[in-house]
Amino acid sequence: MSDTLLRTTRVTLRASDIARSVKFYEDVFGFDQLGKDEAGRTLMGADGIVMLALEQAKDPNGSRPVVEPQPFIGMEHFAFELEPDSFEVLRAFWRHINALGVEIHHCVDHIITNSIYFLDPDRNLIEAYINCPKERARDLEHPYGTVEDLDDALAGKCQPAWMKDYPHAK
Amino acid sequence: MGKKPEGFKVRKAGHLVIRVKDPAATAAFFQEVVGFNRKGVLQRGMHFLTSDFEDNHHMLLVRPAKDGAEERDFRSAIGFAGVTYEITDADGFDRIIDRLNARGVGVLVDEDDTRRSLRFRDEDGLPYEFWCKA
Repeated sequence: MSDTLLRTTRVTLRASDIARSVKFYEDVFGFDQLGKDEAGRTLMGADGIVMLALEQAKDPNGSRPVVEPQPFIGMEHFAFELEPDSFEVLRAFWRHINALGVEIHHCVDHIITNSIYFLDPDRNLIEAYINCPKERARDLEHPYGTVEDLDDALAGKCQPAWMKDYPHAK
Repeated sequence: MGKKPEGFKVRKAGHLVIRVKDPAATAAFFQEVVGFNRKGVLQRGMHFLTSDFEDNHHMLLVRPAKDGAEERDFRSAIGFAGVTYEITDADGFDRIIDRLNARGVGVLVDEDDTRRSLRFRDEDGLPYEFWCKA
């Protein structure tokens, strides 16, 4: 346990077109607009909890984020946790963003999570994940990894390989 | 308010992953100043940091920048403009300020009747905010 207990609150993104980004996060995550902070940033989230702040870039034609696998210093991605913890939830999200035409970067089993990575309108890399059963990672020295891509499983062609060892998992 | 998507909800903001010039130094900074625990280090130099693994498997993941990576001005560039973490005990807030001051890291503190916050930048210029209830 850390000597200081923390909770991830929110990420702040500077948008080239804030109206476009607000609509994107409303559509993709179902986020609500939850007012503005003292700096005028638009606050967004779910159930009244702020998880994202968006601010308008002064130069909308400025440089955009560099995306993996290109080299850069800075944010690689920011992750939001979906609920409930079920692969069917991740499938529902995958179908949802495909229907919206969102550019998917990759989908992967990380042992501790199953994750979908996608790009927002400014090419920020965003992750949406579900937690896998905790017992899957509990005894591992390094509970984070990249096991297999999940493209076929998300498309409903098969189940993710890990589920055969966890028959109770949904 | 538009129609909500069906079949999922966002439970919470999870974690930030950053690419930095010296991940070991950056991870050590956050362990020593913020009090994060390092849960694991993979061979690719990935440092997984969290304050409570059971509640959140990682809150900050520090990775090495690849060769040729260029610095960005996070004060104006499109994209990442900061991450915010809540400190759930007031002692933790003061502890972080003391540790930042001891290291000579510039820190901006704002306080009002409901909220205390501190902001600083890491070695790569990435901005962070930590806050707690007043």
